[in-house]
Amino acid sequence: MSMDKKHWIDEAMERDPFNKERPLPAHLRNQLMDIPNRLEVKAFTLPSTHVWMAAAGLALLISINAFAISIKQKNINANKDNSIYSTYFSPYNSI
Amino acid sequence: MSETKHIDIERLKKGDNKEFSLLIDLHAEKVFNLLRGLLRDETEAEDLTQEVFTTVYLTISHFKGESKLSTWIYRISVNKFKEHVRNRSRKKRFGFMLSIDNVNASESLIVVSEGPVEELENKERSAVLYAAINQLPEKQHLAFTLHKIEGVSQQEICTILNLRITAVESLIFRARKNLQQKLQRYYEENEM
Repeated sequence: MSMDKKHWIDEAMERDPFNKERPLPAHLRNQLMDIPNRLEVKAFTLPSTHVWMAAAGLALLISINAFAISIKQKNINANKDNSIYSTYFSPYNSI
Repeated sequence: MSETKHIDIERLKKGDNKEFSLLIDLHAEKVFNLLRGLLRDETEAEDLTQEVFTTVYLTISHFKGESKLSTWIYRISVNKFKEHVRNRSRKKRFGFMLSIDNVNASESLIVVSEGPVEELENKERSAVLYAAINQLPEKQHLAFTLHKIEGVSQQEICTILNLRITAVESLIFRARKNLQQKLQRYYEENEM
């Protein structure tokens, strides 16, 4: 089918099926309508395993700290016990 | 785009689902058809439409009302399209330009009221035309498609592409000239 050269592009575009308006597919409309729900779920719900792992990590850190403090305290006490010995009988002290 | 039904932007910014549904009813079809016209692929157009409205939902708080809401959504669509094309060419999954023989993209479309010969002619012609449009520089491609295919006003194209009106007019003019040059041979061989 021949077309006028001057209007060839316009006519070809008008006949192009991709340039004809199509109604929005129903499944796409549903997916678009669901966007707020999908984003809210993603934004506010963390998997419970992640929550428990974070809690366990915190508990581990606290217990390591408590353990370290108790060891340090023991050392301080031990140093206090040996203070007389180190003052008077230590081989490093000069007479 | 029709904005006869009023969208309450403030409620939309607060995450009101009813306003978002109204937004989809008013604008989704236009966005889908714009992306379909640009991409020539139903599935990609659907995916990108979803991306556009996800971005709209997440960034509506940044909308200042300096332009029409439809123009703002068009701008997001055009940016998504550019991003998509860049990713696609980076991945080199498939050539950006459709070959004349490849009319798969239009297979899902039914052209009613025309005979099989005319339908085939239309498919071939539109594939050639699309290939030529795709060869245009990006701005010419977008300005031409928005204006000629989507019927977006030149003023709106200025806002979407962030250009002056004279630049948009010039882009559309040059796009048409380039297309005429590119399609000259095809026209002489097939249409005369």
